[in-house]
Amino acid sequence: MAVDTFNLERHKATATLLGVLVAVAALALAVRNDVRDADAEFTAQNGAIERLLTRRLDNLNASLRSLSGMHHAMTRLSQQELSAFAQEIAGSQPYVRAIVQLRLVDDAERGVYEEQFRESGFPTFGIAASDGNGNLTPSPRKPQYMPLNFVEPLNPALARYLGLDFYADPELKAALDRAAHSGQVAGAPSPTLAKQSFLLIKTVYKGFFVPDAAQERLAQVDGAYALLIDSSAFMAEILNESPMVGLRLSTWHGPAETVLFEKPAPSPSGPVAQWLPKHVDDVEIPLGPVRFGLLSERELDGQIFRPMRWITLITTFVGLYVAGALVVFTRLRAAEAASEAGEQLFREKERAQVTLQSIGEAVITTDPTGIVDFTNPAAEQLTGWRAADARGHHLNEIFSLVSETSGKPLPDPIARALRDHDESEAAAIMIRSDGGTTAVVENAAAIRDSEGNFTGAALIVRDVSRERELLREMAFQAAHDPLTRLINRRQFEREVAAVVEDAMSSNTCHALMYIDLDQFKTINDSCGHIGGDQLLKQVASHLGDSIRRLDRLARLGGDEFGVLLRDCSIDKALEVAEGLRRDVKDLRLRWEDKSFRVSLSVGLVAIDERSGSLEEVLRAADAACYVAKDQGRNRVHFYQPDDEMLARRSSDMQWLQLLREAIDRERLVLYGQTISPLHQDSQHPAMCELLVRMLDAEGHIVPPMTFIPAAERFSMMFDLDLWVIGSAFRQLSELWARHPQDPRIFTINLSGQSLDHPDLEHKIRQLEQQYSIDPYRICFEITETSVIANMDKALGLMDGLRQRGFLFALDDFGTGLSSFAYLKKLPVDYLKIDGEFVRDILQDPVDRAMVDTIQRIGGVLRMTTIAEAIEDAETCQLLTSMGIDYGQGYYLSRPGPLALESAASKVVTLRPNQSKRSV
Amino acid sequence: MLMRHTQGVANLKVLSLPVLLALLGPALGADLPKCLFVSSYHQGYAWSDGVERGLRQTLDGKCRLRQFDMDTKRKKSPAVKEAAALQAKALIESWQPDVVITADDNAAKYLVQPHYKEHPLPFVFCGVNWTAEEYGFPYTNVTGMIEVAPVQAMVDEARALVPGASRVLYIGADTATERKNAARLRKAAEKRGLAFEQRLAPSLATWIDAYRQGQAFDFIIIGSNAGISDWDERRAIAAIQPITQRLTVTSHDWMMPVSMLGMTKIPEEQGEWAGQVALQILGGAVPNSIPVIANRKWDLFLNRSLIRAAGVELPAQLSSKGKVYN
Repeated sequence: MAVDTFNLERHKATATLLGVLVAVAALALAVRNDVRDADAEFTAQNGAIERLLTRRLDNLNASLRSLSGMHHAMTRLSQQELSAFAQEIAGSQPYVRAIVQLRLVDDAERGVYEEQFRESGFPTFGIAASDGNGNLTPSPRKPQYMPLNFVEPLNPALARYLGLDFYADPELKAALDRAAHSGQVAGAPSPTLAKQSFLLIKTVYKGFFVPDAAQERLAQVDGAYALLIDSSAFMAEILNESPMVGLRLSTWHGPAETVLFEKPAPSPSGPVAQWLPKHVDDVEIPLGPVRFGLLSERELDGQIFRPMRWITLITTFVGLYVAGALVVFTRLRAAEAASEAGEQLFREKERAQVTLQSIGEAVITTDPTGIVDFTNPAAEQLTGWRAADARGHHLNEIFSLVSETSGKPLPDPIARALRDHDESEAAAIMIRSDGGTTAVVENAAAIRDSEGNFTGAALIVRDVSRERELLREMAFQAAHDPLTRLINRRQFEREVAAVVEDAMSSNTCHALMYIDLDQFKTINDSCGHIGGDQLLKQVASHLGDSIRRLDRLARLGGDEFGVLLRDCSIDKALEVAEGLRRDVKDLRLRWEDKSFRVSLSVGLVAIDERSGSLEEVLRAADAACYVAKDQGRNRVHFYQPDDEMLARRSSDMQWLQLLREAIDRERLVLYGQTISPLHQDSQHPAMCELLVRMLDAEGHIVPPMTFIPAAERFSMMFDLDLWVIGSAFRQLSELWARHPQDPRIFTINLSGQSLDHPDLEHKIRQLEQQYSIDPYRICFEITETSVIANMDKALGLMDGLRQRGFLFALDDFGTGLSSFAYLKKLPVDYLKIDGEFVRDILQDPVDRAMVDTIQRIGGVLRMTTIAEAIEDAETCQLLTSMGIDYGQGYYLSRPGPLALESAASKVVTLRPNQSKRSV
Repeated sequence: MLMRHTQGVANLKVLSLPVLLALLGPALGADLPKCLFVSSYHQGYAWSDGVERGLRQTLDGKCRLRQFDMDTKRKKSPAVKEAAALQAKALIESWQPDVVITADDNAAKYLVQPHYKEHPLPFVFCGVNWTAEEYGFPYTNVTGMIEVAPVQAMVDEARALVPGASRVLYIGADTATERKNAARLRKAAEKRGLAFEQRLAPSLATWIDAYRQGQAFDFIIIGSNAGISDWDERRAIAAIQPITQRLTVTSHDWMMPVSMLGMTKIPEEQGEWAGQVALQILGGAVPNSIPVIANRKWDLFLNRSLIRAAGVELPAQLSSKGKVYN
């Protein structure tokens, strides 16, 4: 069979080769025809060109003969008469640019000749020679001249050549001599008179008749007539009609050629051009005894080809060939078809075998009773049975399948395939004959013969144990904290929810603890986050060891943990909570060579039928934890609904709500308190501290100390500070637009929470650009305690904003004496001396010494000093005498609604005022 | 409301004028070079009209042509001529043409020579009689065409028609041009051995008197009447018809009513040449690179009624060749 197929292929190749040869032969024939046609076309074209040029040259010759005849016939020929005659000739032949008359002048008569011309109205006339660039210079003396005596038409371009000596140009002299010698027309190029032109010259002789002998003719020359021919116009029709032809028109005198016109053939285009022959035709056009030569040539290119004719020819040839070949192939094909069917069957079987051997799924086929007749290598690996061993055994002997979820045996897959109409799929656990298990997905399909009879089943089993493992891992990660491997908040709340539900339905009692590590931030700052994480793991591990197995410990985030004590009375829960607190308190945590102690603040809440919803339970635990912290940390606070502590906490939360509403509904307003320069000759501009106030629902002012603690407690200071900055920038932008010369510097307080916020600098820059704020007129006040608590971030923020031009003041300076050590590092412009030192400065020498010290240090560090809380004239005078630069306090100015009107820098006038500290 | 509408229309007019000018500018020749034609004489003088015709035909559509007539044929005092030249100069300075074309001697004498010799502004002259030597042409900025009459051909032709002729009379107006013409003719006549006399008439009566005297000569050459302020063609014809016995020839076609044979210059040739040269200059040519040349065309006219009245017989060849003067 294979041999037959080989023969058929060989026949096909031979037939194809023959077909190609037929097509190539047809193509060659078509190409030869096209070249032959192009040749014939070129020959015909050349004939037309030759005839046209012959006719034109004959006409020009006739014109020159007329001029010559008239010259010879008349004794005197005035320029008037010549002009009239020349106009007729020029008008009939548009390519004649001019008719020229030359006159032979002997050197002896040159003077008279030139004088006559000048007297007749040509004052600058003289016999001249061309310098080759078109400029004429007087001709040097020589025996004879042949000046241009007349030209028609006389126009400014040609008039300047009147007097041009043609004998001065060797080429023209040679042409004139040839013409004189032959008595016939001679040709010469004429670059001087006009570009792209040539001259046809005919000599005239003295007397009435042209001498017969050449020597006599040379001796009797009187002058000459010439036609100045415009080459382009002369050849225009030819070039237009035959643009691909190159032409060269020349005259021959013996072997010497004088080229009158030349236009090379355009370079052929296309890749085939170089293979094509070049047509050249050299014809001679006799003009009397003078020969004019016309050399025409054409470079053939792809344009001569006519593809449609090729297609026709090739189609005809190939069509005839194909018809014959089809007859032969039809017979051969029939024989081949039979062998191909067998070959195809063999190939498909081979393909199936190879596929089954190589695929990753286990494939097992059985007869209708479940007896295995085939297993592939993947099945061998999955079941642990070699193919040869498995063959003849029932499927149940090799493995069994149980449900992945229930563990119950699954129905026989072969019976299921029959029942589910031939194909079914199921996830299962495969139990091998050696007892090992693997998660699989099995797909069973019935095998039927061509008449639909059930002949067996095919079972495809895919090992999905790795996928299951990944799923389990993902589920674990979704529910657990990656650091401590404890369950996370989401999972914890899910489990608490279940317990809450259980308590309400079955009247059981459980307990929930919220645990917060006290001051863990300090540890984090000391050890870094890696160290902090390690210590967190130690705490988590200890907590986990301290509770029962049925209880649940979770990491809720950061340094917060949750513990769910199942089936636990509140007394027991309190005991457990105290135990945890105590154990952790005694715990020594280690990181590298350092040792740490931590304490816990624990909020505890009972979960029973009265606990309410999950949210209420969680909120109660959180609130209890907060109270534990608020009461001094390291303690357990048990939540009770009538708890006084919690009531305050609740009050704070109410203020928090009000504050949120105030921000959202623009119920915050800006107040301002002037900070005045204390010295008459001060160059310092006045300053104004911007303060925030809240309006309640009735529009009354709410004191800041009412809502600021809530904002601090619930991390709302960043939002509040941002509101102040945005609002201040907006109003200041409007103020500076109205009063650009307002010199005041405005100060804005930044809280510790804001300093710690990663977006603060970015937000300030955004607002600066939004309101086109001049940063040199804005000073941010930060307290030394907040800076020290966030030193790195604070320094980064201050550097960034100071580069923009913003100023900084260190607020409440002096409250922590350690701040002197930091002062050198802090890039601040102002020191605001804490009011605690100012208030009693008149009585307390220590306070006075402190203020004096701060003033001196500020002076050394080039910082401007501001004394807060000045509440009477005496204090103000004392501070002034101590050199303090600015003063602020009720004595000088009370905070009031921000009146953003221009205020010139002014020195305070001491005056009594109420004694109360500004906020 | 009506007032507002009227005001709107007025605004539209104010706006539309520049818009129209901008749109029509090219059509009106706003982007063409400016050519000023200064004629020595006045419109209505046949020679000047011919020159102008040739000039306008050549320059039509190629430059914006403006004309100034000095009118020095009718106003002969030198002061008036100088004043006319100054007027032309003022026009040149205000209009600032790209090229100036002058026709005939007075423009050359009173305008070009005193004010524009070797000046940056190019000039093309035409119609300068016989020679430009007295004005020193060409300058670097001046070229043009000399006006010559076919005097030798005319003398030779008359001499051939009157065999044995020995005396010839020239009659023309009493003007500088005619004096120059007469000098030329004297030279041509004396070259052929003819005795030459001239009568330059300031008035029609003296011209008729001179014509009468001419009957004693072998032939008469009729010069131009330009400058005879009381010239009346009908009176002149009426006066000469009965007394004419001698051959009269002229080179001025406008004198054909009182001449038998005309070998006349063609004034259009002057204008056409001046126009062609002006275009070359506008195209970048330097004026003195184009030579000063003379006209070379003339035509042959016959006044058959006067010939018949005088009983003069002309050769058949000449009689059939000459154009009939109407």
